[in-house]
Amino acid sequence: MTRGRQRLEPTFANLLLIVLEGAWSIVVGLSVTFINFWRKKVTDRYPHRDPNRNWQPRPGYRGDFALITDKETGKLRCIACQQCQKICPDQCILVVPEGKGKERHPTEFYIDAGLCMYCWLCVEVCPADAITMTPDYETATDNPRKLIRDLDYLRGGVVKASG
Amino acid sequence: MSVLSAITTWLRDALEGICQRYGIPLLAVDILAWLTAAVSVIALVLLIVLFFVYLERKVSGYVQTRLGPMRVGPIGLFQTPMDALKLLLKEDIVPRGADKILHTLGPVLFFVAAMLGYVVIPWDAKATIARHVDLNIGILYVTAVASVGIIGLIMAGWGSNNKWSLLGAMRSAAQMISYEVPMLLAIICVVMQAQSLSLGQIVNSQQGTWLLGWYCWRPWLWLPLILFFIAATAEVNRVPFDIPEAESELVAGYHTEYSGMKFGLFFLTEFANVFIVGLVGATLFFGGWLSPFGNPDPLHIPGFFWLMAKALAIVIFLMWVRWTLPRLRVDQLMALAWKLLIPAGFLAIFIVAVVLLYV
Repeated sequence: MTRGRQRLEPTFANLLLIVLEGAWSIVVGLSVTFINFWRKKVTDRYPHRDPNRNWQPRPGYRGDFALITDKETGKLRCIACQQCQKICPDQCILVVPEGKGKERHPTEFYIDAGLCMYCWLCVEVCPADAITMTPDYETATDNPRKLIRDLDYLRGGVVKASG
Repeated sequence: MSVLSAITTWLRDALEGICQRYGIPLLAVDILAWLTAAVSVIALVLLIVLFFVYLERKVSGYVQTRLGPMRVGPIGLFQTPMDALKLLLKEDIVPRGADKILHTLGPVLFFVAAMLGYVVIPWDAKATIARHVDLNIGILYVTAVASVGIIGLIMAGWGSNNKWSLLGAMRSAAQMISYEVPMLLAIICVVMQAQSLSLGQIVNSQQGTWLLGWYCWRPWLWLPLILFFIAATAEVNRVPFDIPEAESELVAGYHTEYSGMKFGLFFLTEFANVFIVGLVGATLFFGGWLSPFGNPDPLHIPGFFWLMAKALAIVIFLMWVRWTLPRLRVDQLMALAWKLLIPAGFLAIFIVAVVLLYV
């Protein structure tokens, strides 16, 4: 007879010990499930929103994309340096620049959300701190073409003070 | 007595009157009555199985602090009827190389064997399917037809032409035959106490003040009670004794190759068997149709209700156990039956015999 890893002498007393231990562990297990049965349930019934619950994702969540508008100048921070386009492993960013020096800005800016793997590299690499991801997680559509974000879509995102 | 029996008596009288007037033999009325009883019991079982599947999913969800099915209908109540409908409409696939006859006959035999057990269940005083007939070897009959189902499982396992199916069927045969022994030993204790094999007699001998006459209050029957529920759980292949369909080892055991309504039949039968365990357990140890408030019931609640309530409580307990305990290994399972439960069964018989003789 064994009890865990321990070998026991095959006596009647030891058999009784094993049986009683097993029965007690069953009772303990049943009490654990019984307590859990009456506990508050953790399920979020997603579209049926409970106003008492916080439906915002945790900080750092990578949702939809946005280009940051500077609060003072009211213009996009983006300087169209195309570094995000170069570093993107999925090659889902396309930036069309215009102008020289301080006037340089994007005329077209496309992100294909269907290709993106949300690796955060574009945000890391951006020298102007101009691109980010919002906590908005409800980005599902019925058509993959709708997942391509253009400049107008991205502009509507985040406004931040400079610095 | 009650409104129900008044209606049935009136219906029977009316039908017999019609038969006499048109010269139809009175046997026709009897046949009609039997058919009605059989169909209503089958319908009851099917409905209760749908409810049990729902209950099982709810209990499992609640134990894991989930909600279980919530979408289809109010609190998910229509989930299982919809699933059953889906199973009915699904394609029925017979694998290449399968023995077609055995493959089809397996689930049918399994189902029929389970339904046969319901014939002798006393739903109320003098209310089995065959009206006033209380089979005098009722409990023997229940255990006998329960073991016929094994043949259906082996047919399904062999006919599927699949190693997992065959392994599952062999395991279930070994398990069910092994666990029949301790179950019978536990039942013999109750039979000794009641001095009868008839389920109606067993219930009647449990009458007493309120619920104190039930066999679950007699200390010398506690060991048989525990043995019966362990062995019965193994008989119906439920966790922790579900090695015939251990999904981590055998895909799905004997019903691996089944789809559509044939799979549905297996699924249904498993829950029908669980219900039988609830009914027989309630009849043997918890007073069957007897009311806990004394007999006859002071509130005029029919005995059928009490039997169903007790069976439901037992089934919920089995579900609770299922979502608590892990599965046993094959050798542990056999060791439990042959090295522990069967000696304990003989010990239980000895104790009951001594108590009945000398106390």
